[in-house]
Amino acid sequence: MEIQVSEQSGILIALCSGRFTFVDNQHFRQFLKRIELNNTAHTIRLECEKIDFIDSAALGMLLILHDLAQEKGIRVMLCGAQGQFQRMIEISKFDLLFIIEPLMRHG
Amino acid sequence: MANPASYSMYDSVILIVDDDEDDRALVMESLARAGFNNVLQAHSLSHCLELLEVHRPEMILTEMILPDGADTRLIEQITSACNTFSPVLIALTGMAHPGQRVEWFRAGIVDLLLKPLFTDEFIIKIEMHLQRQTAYQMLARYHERVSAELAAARHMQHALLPDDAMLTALTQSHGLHINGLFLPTAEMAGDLWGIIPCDNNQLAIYSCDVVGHGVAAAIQSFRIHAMLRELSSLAAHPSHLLCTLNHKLCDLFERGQFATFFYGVFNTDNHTLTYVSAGAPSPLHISHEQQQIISLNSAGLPLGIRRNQEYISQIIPFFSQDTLLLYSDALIENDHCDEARLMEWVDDYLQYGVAQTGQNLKDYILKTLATPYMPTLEDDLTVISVVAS
Repeated sequence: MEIQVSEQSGILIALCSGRFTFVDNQHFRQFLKRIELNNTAHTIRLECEKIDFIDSAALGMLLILHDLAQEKGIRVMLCGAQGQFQRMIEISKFDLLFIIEPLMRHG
Repeated sequence: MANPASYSMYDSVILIVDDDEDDRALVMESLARAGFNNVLQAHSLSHCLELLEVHRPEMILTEMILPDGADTRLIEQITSACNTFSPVLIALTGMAHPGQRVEWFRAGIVDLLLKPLFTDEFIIKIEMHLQRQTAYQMLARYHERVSAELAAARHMQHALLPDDAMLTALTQSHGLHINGLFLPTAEMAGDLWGIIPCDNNQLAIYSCDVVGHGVAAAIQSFRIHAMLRELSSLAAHPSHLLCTLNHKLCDLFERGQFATFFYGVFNTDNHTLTYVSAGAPSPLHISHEQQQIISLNSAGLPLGIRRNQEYISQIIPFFSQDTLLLYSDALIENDHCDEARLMEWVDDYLQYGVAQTGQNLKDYILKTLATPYMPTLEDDLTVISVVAS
């Protein structure tokens, strides 16, 4: 999975794309490290529209993100999830942990 | 070889094969001066082969032209005499054409030292090869030991699952034909399924998948199995059981770890299935009477994440000839099968498989559903079917 991170007015935006799986473990931990060191963000927006697939190990990584953000008082939004990722969020009831922003269909 | 912790490469057994007594003496002396204290010598190929019947040297240094053997044939005879171990084989030679050297390397030597030997370079090369050989052997032994331990652990994991005798007995006692397929990957994983008889009319079935791969996930599945035994008094109460199990797992799991779980109680008296799910893949209820496939709502926060999470049970009718199909996510998360393909399979099942029970059904599922995906499995695959009599 590719992650491109930027920050605007206290909102950390992570543009995610590709398959989010166990192999992204190290990669995602670098992202977590960045959050750990961040003292300005109040919100993290994970832009998930381009995530094609997520496995259970990657859901575990989202849980770590959730716990870390909670410790720092940051809210986490999962935005635009679709397809298999959306189904995984629904079946795992991740709306209990994250703010879910549905995909905005244009036109 | 001795205990690796106390092993020194200078204890390695080295066999020198050379018909020239002076050359042999020079090599012996150089090795002795460097500290090697386990050096054997052979004056011919036949002498070398005799020694290899009783010794297992870590290294063989051989002249390539001996009175009773030479060139690639010599290498082949030495390597075939070492069929139960793998010494480092090094050629000693006064001359060799480049093409000939290539043939020797292809036949099995790992290095070639030209005579006359330069002692310092000779010893450095011997040490280098022995260090590499020692590291390789230690790694091979470690790999062998871990493989054996993993095989034993997989066997233990299998032993937790219901066996055929239990399934047959439950068919007679509760009128439910239950079949389970558990196809583990080479490494261990966290899949687990089981049956808990509650009373004469009620029977619980569960399927669990601890996130992640490897021994850590498997150990957690062992713990869950033990916890379920402790909670057997709650076996007929899915909601209460899952809430209690979740509470315990929240204490046990590390951050980021969780388990998906399905737990269902079949009541053969009033023909119902009361189930609760914590994010397990949607079970399929195949209604025989209505010839309909219903994907059950299995949404729920996986276990081990939030301590006071509620899990509310749901009740559905489960009549004679109805089927419930449970499966782990490996079935629909591979390159060859997804949820749409699974539904196609269920359509076929309604046409051909629904009349099957017992071993026939197990074979049918294995042949048509599980086997095609086995080569690409990256996770354990569990498929469980329950058919009411």
